[in-house]
Amino acid sequence: MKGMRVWLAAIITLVVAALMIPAGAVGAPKSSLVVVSGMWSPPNNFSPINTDSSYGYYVVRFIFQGMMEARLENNQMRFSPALATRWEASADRQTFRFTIHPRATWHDGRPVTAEDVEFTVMTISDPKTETNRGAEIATIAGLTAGGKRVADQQLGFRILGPKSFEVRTKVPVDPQMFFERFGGNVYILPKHVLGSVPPDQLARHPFFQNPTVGNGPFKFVQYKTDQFVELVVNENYHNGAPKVRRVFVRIIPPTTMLAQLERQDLDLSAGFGIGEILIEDWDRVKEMPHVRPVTIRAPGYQFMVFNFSRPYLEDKRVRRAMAHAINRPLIVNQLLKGAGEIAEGPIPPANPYFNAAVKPWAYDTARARALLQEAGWDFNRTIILRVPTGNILRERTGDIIRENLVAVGIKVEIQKSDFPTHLAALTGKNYDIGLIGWAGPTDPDVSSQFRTGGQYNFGHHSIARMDQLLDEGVRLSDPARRKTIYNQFQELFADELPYVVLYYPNGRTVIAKRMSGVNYDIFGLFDYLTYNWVAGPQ
Amino acid sequence: MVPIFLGITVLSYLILTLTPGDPVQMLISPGQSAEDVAIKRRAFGLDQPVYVRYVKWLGELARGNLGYSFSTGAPVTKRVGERIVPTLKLTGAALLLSYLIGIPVGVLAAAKRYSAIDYLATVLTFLGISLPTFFLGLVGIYIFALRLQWLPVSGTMTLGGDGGFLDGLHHLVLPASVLAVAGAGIITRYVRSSMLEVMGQDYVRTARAKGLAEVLVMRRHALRNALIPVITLAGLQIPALLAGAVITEQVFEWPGMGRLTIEAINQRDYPVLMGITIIAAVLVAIGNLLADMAYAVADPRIHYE
Repeated sequence: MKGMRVWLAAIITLVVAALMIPAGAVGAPKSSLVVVSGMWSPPNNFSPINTDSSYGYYVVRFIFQGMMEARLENNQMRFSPALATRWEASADRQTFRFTIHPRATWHDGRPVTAEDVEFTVMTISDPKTETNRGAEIATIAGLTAGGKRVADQQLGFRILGPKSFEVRTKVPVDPQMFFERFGGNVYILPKHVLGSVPPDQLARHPFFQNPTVGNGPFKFVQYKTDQFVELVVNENYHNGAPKVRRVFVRIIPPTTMLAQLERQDLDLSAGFGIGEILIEDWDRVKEMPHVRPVTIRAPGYQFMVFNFSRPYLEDKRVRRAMAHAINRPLIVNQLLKGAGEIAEGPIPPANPYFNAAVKPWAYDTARARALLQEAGWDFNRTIILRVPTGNILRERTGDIIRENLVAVGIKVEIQKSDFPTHLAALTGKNYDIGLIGWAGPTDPDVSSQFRTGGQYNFGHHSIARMDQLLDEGVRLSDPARRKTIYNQFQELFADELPYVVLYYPNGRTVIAKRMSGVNYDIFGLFDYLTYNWVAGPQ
Repeated sequence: MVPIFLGITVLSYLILTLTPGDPVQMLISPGQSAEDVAIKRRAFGLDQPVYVRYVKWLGELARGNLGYSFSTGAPVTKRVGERIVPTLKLTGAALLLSYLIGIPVGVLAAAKRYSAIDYLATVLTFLGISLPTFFLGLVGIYIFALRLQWLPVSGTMTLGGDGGFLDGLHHLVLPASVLAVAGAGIITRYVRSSMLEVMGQDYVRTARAKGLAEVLVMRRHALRNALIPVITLAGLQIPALLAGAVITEQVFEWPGMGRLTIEAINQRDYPVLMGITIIAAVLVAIGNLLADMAYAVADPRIHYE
């Protein structure tokens, strides 16, 4: 068997050769100048007006900025300077003035000007531009409800000087809301680079795969597909050059996040919903000497939606019976290991507009059965619970819900499908009850989900009083009066229950102890004021 | 060839559009305005009927344009193209490794049938076939990357490094080995049963009868004939080479074709999926052709005119 020996020798040589490579060459460069952040999935692209709402914008915000950055602190919205140094609202809450930092420049050295801002607004509002920022500018005069230009109307935007401009809204608006949306969520495009690109070709422009001219604290170096985005310090950053010289945003599946942390190849997880620690890994993370676990009161929630086009779900007693039947405390305590909150409404407990007086319906099976009987529920009917795959916690929640509903006499069949199919079923009214999650802006306007015909009204419900309150909430500009309206909205919500909000899961994230100055923004993401990040030696 | 190819495109286009799920819906962010959504739908051409979209797509294909990815806006050729090298590296290395292990072990098991070696090989191959790659990958990471610290956890290159050959090889070892385990198991089974069959043939008995050394009988007479079904297997695996290895790529952060396919399915990125289908169809044809050619080399009874 001489041939055999040759084979074996070859294999052994190969394996040994591979293992001989010095182990020191492995992993991230470990220095105080380099920081590695981890998120679960790759970004779609790097377009400041058109990338995906989570992964894409996480990276974009290192490279591009808006006027300011927003963060909730103790139920108060706080704004910090990004491109702007000053922002003010007029007394009538309809005119807003911004002054751009005198030294704010593009990464190629050209100054960032009011013209760039105007160009950005013109681009987003162009009916040919592919963007998801339309809603952020929709309050500006001369634009439709979706933020698009109307031919014969004057745009409420005026350049006052090279570095200053004024925005006028259609009607008076809540300044907090305006600053969060226009100031915080509209990232400025370089006019001198993109000014000549036809709007309908912008989305396919190579610049958004390779955004070399940004205005943020970090410059784009390269994107290694599905592996990492490399960013380097912008020495000329107007708010002071960042102390961290290089940032890698790595794409790491949830299952190996822990291993990367253990090897100290990772300094932080990106944040709520895009880079977190799995619940089963949480205890081990807490024991790691070199990292600090951080829980975030999340802006998002998981819910169960009712299909209102089914006559048998129209009676609100049926919906309330299900709210009573579902053991939400168990879900939070067992499934989430206590890391979550229960609230009977779509406005998060951590939001300034949260109405603490509205208490969630208690877990009470007797009450649930009584309500079902009262409503004349047909106990022989089997209803379909649609559950999307991919989020293990949500799938397990589905199993618990089914058990809970069966326990009070409702027959339930679970149908699982991948997310696109699930979403199609919800919008196509092809379900009875369904599970899904949501994380939205801090502003309490939830019309798109709960108003009649709203774009994300997955339950297809139409509740006149709810429409009225939602319209009123958008119309008012005085925060105190808005609060009253949204308090009423939350009371009505708990009474009508278009959704059963299942839980607000806390974000489970982690930061290396060597890092300081790291904070999360209103969405629970660690891309907030990245120029303040400091990393010590490892 | 051309009609088959056309048939494939029609069928896959139809299946794609019949799949529930809306590509635009997969790209919208919370709070996006309905007008912005409508603009996207128009830009993707999804406001038009399926046959119009198909004809347009086919027309572009004839001009060598596979279109643009819905989700990234990059040309499909670029999205698919940048995956080819990493995919080939991973699947190629794994395939090579699985043959390097599978053939000798299979031959050995057949030659020493019902011996301790054979039983051990059988147990190991079944273990290799039945252990999920996902689990094996995590175990591999735990042992070699965390405990022994010999190998990196994942990725194809060191962050901030220049991605040299040795660095690449170092990152390749673990994922390729994990992927090779199941393959080696299957190949071992194939080689073993095929060898046993051949060893019962008359010409092997003749070879033994004329006094040839057992090694020569095995190498010259048995092995060469036993390899024919293995070659068919290899031919069938060529498309799989480019299809990538979804789970291994996921666990090891490997930028391969399998991940692209899953991403594209999850986002209902029709142009990318069609691009992948086209390339896969061409590869299957090439794979079969190569296997046919290899038969002629391995088996003197087969020759093409």
